[in-house]
Amino acid sequence: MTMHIADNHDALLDYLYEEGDPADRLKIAKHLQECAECSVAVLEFQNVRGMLSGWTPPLADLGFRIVQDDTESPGATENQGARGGRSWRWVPASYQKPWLQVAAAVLLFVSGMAVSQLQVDYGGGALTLRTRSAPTATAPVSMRNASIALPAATMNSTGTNAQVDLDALARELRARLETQNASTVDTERLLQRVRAMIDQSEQRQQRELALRLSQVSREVDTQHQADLLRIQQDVGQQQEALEYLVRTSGGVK
Amino acid sequence: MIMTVMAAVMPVTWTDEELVARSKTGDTESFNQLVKRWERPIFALAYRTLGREEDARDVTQETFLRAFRGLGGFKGDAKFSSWLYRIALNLCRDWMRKERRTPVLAVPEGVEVEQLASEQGPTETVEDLAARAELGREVAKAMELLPAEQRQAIILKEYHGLTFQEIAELMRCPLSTVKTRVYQGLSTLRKQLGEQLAPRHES
Repeated sequence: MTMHIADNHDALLDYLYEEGDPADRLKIAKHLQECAECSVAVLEFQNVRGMLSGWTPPLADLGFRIVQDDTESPGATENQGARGGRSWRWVPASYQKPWLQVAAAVLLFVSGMAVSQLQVDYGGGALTLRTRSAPTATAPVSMRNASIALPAATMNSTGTNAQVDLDALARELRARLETQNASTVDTERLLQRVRAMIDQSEQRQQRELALRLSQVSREVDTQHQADLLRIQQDVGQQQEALEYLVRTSGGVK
Repeated sequence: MIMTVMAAVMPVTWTDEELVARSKTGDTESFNQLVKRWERPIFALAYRTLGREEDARDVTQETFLRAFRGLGGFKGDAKFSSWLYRIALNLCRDWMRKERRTPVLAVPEGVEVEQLASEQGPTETVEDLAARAELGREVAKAMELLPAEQRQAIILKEYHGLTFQEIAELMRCPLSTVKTRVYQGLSTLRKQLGEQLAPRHES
């Protein structure tokens, strides 16, 4: 393997990207200290690599997700199917708006209540939900000490006020879900953004470090070459002086 | 029970292979973890190849969708990331053929000073940010002039840290071809960027 990498593209690339045999790279590093042509070639390619690091993609809002779902979703019909015995649906970021999730949840909740003809009773400090279809078989669900506060006007126990109670409950749930979902999604997005920023920052720092190292290496090389030149000049002068001495001493003899 | 509680409390970092195996059993959350882990690199690859944020988003989404659909056929012979990269590269190539146009890299969208400010280093001034945004534009212009094969090889090498061998397997070509593409691409960039940036640097 020739160490003159200015003409050996394979070796040049292996050295630039630190691939190939480490022993070969070590030989190249030694060769670079002696060969100005190869040093210049390496430095120019390193400079190009440093410039390439300046091209960064935008911080796009991604957040694609696969969700298990049996229901139809507008705009997602091409992106759904079944695998592993389960149905799934692809949810792009645009479909993950918190208000959409809240609206779907509330709609489902209210529909379920309407279908089951739910009775809402409030008495003795406890909220009681009972289905009309099975009043004796189903034990009432007691929500004593529930954190949902219903308006006082809806606190009577007659079945005719059930719809009013449901509306109030739905409103309350909607508000709470909106708050929770929004904060969860925001936090997740924020974390994603921070992670991406940290990654990019680390990459940038590594590239800048590599650039600075290459600059230092170039300065050392330049200094090294200057020293060599000076030494050669000194040696030349000394040789001339020596020859002069030899000539003059011979002349004396 | 204890394991369940520990799993809930301690964050578990699964490898790609483990997440793929779990995804194959129908665990969509495991696949979502893979999406979260790889969506940025895939988006970056698509963006640098196609040049438009919106197209890159579409390609990224389609990449994961195809990966999810084809997960059963993924045997694990290659790394999951390599498999994803291949899907994304094929989609980019199809996109360019379908659109019958070259990538739009002359005016990179979105990478402006305002955005760079969000990833600003502690010692970077506004002038540094402006210079970096300008440099990004110059690099994008220079990359536009490269043939697609050279551009993709350089993107995979420079921005995704793949080995030459991995790039050769991804692009289905000999190792020597990849090295030639990278070398020729870098040589062209050296000329282009040298001409564009030298006067500014001298001043």
